[in-house]
This record gives sequence, C-alpha cells and structure tokens, in this order.
Amino acid sequence: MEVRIPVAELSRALSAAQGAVQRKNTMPILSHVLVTAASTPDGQGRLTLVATDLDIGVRTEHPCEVISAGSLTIPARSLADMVRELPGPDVTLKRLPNQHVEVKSGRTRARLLALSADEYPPLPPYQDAPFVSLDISLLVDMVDKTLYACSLDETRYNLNGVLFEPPSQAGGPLTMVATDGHRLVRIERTIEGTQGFGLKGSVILPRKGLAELRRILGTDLDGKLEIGFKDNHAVIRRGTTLLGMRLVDGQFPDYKQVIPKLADKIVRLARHDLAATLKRVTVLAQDRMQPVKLSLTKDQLVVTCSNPDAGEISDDVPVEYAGQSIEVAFNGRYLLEALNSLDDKNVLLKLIDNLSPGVVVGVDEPRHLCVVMPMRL
Amino acid sequence: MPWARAVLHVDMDAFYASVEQHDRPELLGRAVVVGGTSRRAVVCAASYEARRFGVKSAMPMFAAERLCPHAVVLPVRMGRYLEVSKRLMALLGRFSPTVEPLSVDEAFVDATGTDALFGPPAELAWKVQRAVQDELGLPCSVGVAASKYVAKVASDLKKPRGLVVVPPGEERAFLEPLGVERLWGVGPTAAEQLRAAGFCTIGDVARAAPADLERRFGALGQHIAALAVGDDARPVDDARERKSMGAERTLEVDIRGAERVFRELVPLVDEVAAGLRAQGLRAGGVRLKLKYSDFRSVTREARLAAPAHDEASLRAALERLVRKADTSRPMRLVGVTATALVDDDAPRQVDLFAHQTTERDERLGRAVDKIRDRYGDDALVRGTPAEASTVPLRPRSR
Repeated sequence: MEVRIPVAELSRALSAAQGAVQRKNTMPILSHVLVTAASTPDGQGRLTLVATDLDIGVRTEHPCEVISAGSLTIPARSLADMVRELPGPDVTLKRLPNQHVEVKSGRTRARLLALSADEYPPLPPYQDAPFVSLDISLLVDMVDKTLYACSLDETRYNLNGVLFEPPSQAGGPLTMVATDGHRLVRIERTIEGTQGFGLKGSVILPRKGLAELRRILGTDLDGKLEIGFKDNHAVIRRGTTLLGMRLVDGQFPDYKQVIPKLADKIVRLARHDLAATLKRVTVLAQDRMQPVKLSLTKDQLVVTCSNPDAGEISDDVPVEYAGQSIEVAFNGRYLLEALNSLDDKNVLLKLIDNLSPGVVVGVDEPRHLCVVMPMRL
Repeated sequence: MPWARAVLHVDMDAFYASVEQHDRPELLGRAVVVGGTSRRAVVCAASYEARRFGVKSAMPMFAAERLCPHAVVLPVRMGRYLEVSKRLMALLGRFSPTVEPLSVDEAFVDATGTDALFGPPAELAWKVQRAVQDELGLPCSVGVAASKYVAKVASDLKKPRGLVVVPPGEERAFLEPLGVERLWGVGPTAAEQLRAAGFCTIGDVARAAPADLERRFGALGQHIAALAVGDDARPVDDARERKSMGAERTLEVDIRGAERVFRELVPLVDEVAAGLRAQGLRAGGVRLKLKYSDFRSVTREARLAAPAHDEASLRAALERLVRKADTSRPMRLVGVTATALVDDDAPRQVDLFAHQTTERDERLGRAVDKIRDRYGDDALVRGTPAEASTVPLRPRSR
C-alpha cells in the first residue's frame, strides 16, 4: 500500500478517529487505526480510516492519490502526534516489509511499527443501517440538554446513556431522557416525517458515543445528518464520516412514573435570578453534594447554604408564589445545571413536599423538563 | 508536680457480660458467659463471677462450660453493645472534648485543663466512673496518668471498678514492679526473649541503657526504653469520626468460587450493617478482603451510589467486587469493611428510583436489629442456599 494525501486531510481523519481509539492496553491493535487505500470505480483515490474500541467505531473517507492499493494498521497516537508536526503539504504512507510503515513528508522520513490489517477487528456493517435524515441542530440540541444528566456510575450501567424514544405514533414527538438516579431530564421534539427509525421501541444511546458525536460535529451544526439503527448499534452519518455506537444493553427505568403530575406548589421566577443565587450561595459548599435549602413563602424564596466548617450564606429571590409555605433541600449543582439547560427567560419550579421530586420547566416550553430529587436533611 | 497533661483511660469491666446483667437484673451476681453458639465458638466475655472459676475471654465455649457448669451462657448481641458503647462515648464527651475510642468498651479521655470544671484529674476520674455507673448502670475501671500508656496500665491494675491514679513524676516507681508483658508492643514471644535476657520487670528495662536495649532488641528496644520510664507523648487522638467498620472471618475450610464467597458475605454484611445502624452511621463505600490459602490477600474497594446502612445495598456492592476479584484460587478468609462513614443524619440525596426499595430495606434492617437486641444475634439469621448443611444447629438453654 502506498498513498499520498494532504497533511491537513490526514490530520482531519485522525482527529475524527481519536475518540474511538482505545487508550487502555487490553488489545494492542485497538490503539491503532486501520488505513485502507483503494480506487473508486471512477478512478478516484480513496483513503478509508477506521478506529474502534469495540463500543464505538469511526469510519471516515478522504480523497487521496493511491499509488498502490492495500491496507495496514498504524499506532494512532504516534501517527497523530507526528502528523501534527509534519511540514507538508502532502504526506506519503507506504507499507514496508516486516510490518513497518514509512511516513514521508517534505524532507521528513519516519518508520513506524505497524500491525497486519488482517488482525484488525471488522466494524459492524454500519453502512447497512436504514438511515433516517434529521436536522443536526435538532439532534445536537437534544443531546446537549440530556447528556449532562447521565450517570457516570458504571454500576448503574443502564443510566450510562440517553434514552432515545422514537415517536410512538405518526406526528408524535421524538423523546430523549437522561437520569443519574438523582435528577432526570426529558425533552420532546417534533420531527419531520413519521418514521419510527426502524425501531420496535426505545433504545439507550451510550454516553460515550454521544460525547464523541458532539465532539465530531463541533460547531458546524448546519444541515442534516442521518441516523440509523442496526443490530444493537446506532449509526450516525454525516457526509463520508460514520460514527457507530453499541447501544447500552439494559432496561431504562420507567421515567414517566417519576415525573410528578400533580405538583400543587408552583413558583414562577426568572431563570437567571435563581441561577445567580445558587452560584452565590454554593461558594461555601464544600463538595458537590452540599445541600441548598429553599424556603418558600408567599412571593418570596430564600435560598440558604450552610457548611458546618465554613459558615452560612442566604439570598432572596423574587418569585411569584401564592401556595403553602414549604422548605425543601436540593443538591445545588443539580438545580443549577437544570436551570442552565433551559432556554426560557422565566421558569416554573413545581414542588409537592420535601421528599418528592421537584420539576423545573420553562414557562413556554413544557416539552423540556427537568426533575430533581430533594436531599433529606 | 503539677499535671502538665492528664489522660484518663476508661475501660468497661466485662463489658458484654455486664450489659447482659444490667439488662436482666436477675443475672446480677451470677456467672454469665457471652459467646457464640456453634460447636467451635469461643467466649467473648465472662462476668467476674465466672472468671473466678477460670473462665476467660477467647477460651473455647466447651472449656468454659466444663470449668463453670452453672454459668448462664448467653448469645452475643452486638447491636445492643454498640448502642451502649455509643452512649458511653457520648457520656465521656461531656467531660472532655477530646475522647479517643479504642474499641467498643474503652477510650482515652484527655483531661488536660478540665480542673476548673471537674476538679483535679483524680476527682474527674471518680466523677466519670460514677456517671458510667449511674447512667449506664455498668461498672468500669479508670486509670489516670500524664500519658496514654501509663493510664492504660493503671486502669487494668485493680479491675473491676478500679480507680488508679499515677501522679506526674511517679510513673517510674509505678511501673517498676510490673512484668515486662505489660509494656505496649510486647507480646508473649517478645516477653519470653526479654526475660531470657534478664529483663523480668519494667524496672529492669528502665535501668538498662537505651542504647543497649536498642542494640539488643532493635526498634522494639528503643520503644520499650521510652515506655519503661513512662515516656509516651502521643496525644489523645480526638478524630472521633470512625473512618471504617469491618468484620472478617477465617473459614474452617478453604473455599473457591464467587458463589461461595457470596455466601460467606451474608453474615459479615449483617454484622457490619447492624454495627452501622447501632452507631448511627452510613457507609459511603465498601471494601472486600480475600486472603488466599498462600496467605496473600487482596482488597477491592468501591463507592456506593448513596451512603447506606442496609444489608442489601452493601451486599450488592460487595458482590460486584467479588465478581471482579480472582475467586478461582482457594481462599481462607473473607473480610468486609464499611468505609467513608458518614453520620446517619447527615444530609443525603434521595434516589428517584431506588427511593422506595431503600426505605423498605432500611426498615427491614431496623426490625431485625430489634429482634436481635431482644433475643440475641443468632435469633435471626439470614438464610443462604445450602447453608443448613454447613452450620450445625444446637439447642441452647436461655
């Protein structure tokens, strides 16, 4: 195999692949990328780069000059570090005998140890998934509003992802839900078309795969991407880049059951007011689990945070409230993250009692709601 | 000489047995032995009435029953002892802000500078002893000295209900006639070595040149040279928060396989969980210890999703650790430790989904505690498959 490719193009390829390269050294070949050079039927040169850690996989295609077709695997990290420093404008990758690859650019010449392409585990047939087109900005918005609430606790593996619930009927919304067991966020969005994404029910998209998707998509969120599901994998395609992820194999909890339906204590307040207050009072919080106490009386909300080792801060937030007085404590961070994820200027805080879940929801956007479980004082 | 520093060592007399006598006054004045009920059980505590017949802690139960056939043998009620222990430590905390529990039934109390409140150290010691008797209904012995070591030796000298005060400057004279086995860190083997070298009393050690002791006995020599003259500057450590609580068991026969370990975990987790509840604590994490037949041991640790004191949460986390550990080799010991302890009443996050099951498990644990407090730790045992064949049942008279 021998190809010539612009340094910038190879750099793009490696950057897209980097998240799927395995860092742990359990299977050495997974720290490599698989590089394949071939000519398309119309005579164009194509370099295909594949990386996978068996949970997620990335496949990208790039125009190049194929001098001789073939494939090989190259240590991803070394190649990426080197490519970053190459003078350019082009770089040549050439397979040498004895499992080596020559990397040549300008007057730089390097030899890297490679492994046989035959040993690289094949990616699942991502490209065969039945794809459905979706606005990038819509998907990204839904991911950004849910991903932060996933559990990082590997023992709660069924919460290590975002529930993806296709519309149950024509015209119904696409729903995404994430929870770490302490708070939950649910967002619904209407999508064009009535497809159920070829799914029989909902699936759990892995947190890591979604984080990788977010990284690959970057800030260019115009246009559409395609999403498809096949054999326990979700596949997302944008142009010639494919990202596949193994779905979380677990039962997502019945989220509808924990969304309170009959909260009787409803407070209306400016989102930024409460967010600013929470930031102020939690400066004394010693760790991420410090409770923040909300004391609610008619048209007044007092937020207090006390730390036995440091002292106490309290702050008033102007609110509209006519219900019964109530005191309830929350993890300040959960409340703040919920407020920050909302878009509305004014939000409603819906409470039942000091041990039942509270809801934070935009005044004009009931489809995006955050549920936060209180702390017991 | 004034008391530059004053340390009390408070040591309960025959603690478990005394608690039983207190809870069942008809046993006062009778020989009471507290211990396990299985065939290989040992004595955990013996009342002074039983000790007169030669019954001692750690002796096999059958031997105790032979020495003192009329003794009332009672099962261990750890939950109850821990509860009393918690009250004891709280009581001591009224006399000084600096209390260092050494175990369930003994603690150091830093009495430096408490004169204005409670009088001189000897008077304070008497007040403590009386408070323990009046409020807990239990006897204790107290040693008072300028250092932890001397105070501990003093408390042990006139048991039960002893009160021994060693005024500052008199440490050497006090220790002089005592045997070398009373030196901290000197076990039976080291004591034998010391005696063979001509050191029979602590006085013998005190008269030797420290350099000579160090040359002959290494680090131990250096250590005992200081202790023998009453030199022990270690402060009473008031880190009152317990950092961990554990239980471990050496198995009768080596075991293999995760399933077998799961079964051994059951009583250990029960013990630790009951201990946490009795002391008003929750575990933020758990640690598993496995010792293999070659005496090498491994520990594995995990955090819990939420601080817990119910058996189900602790066991689930430990079982996950067991699955990750090597259980293919023969194991001789299984140990469980609750780590990252927090107060039961500390604020804690309620779980959206596990909320109700956790509450139920906690209620169950508390109900089990009540039954065990009344009828003994063995009254209610969590069943495991096929356990009946390995644990012999024996009728017991109460």
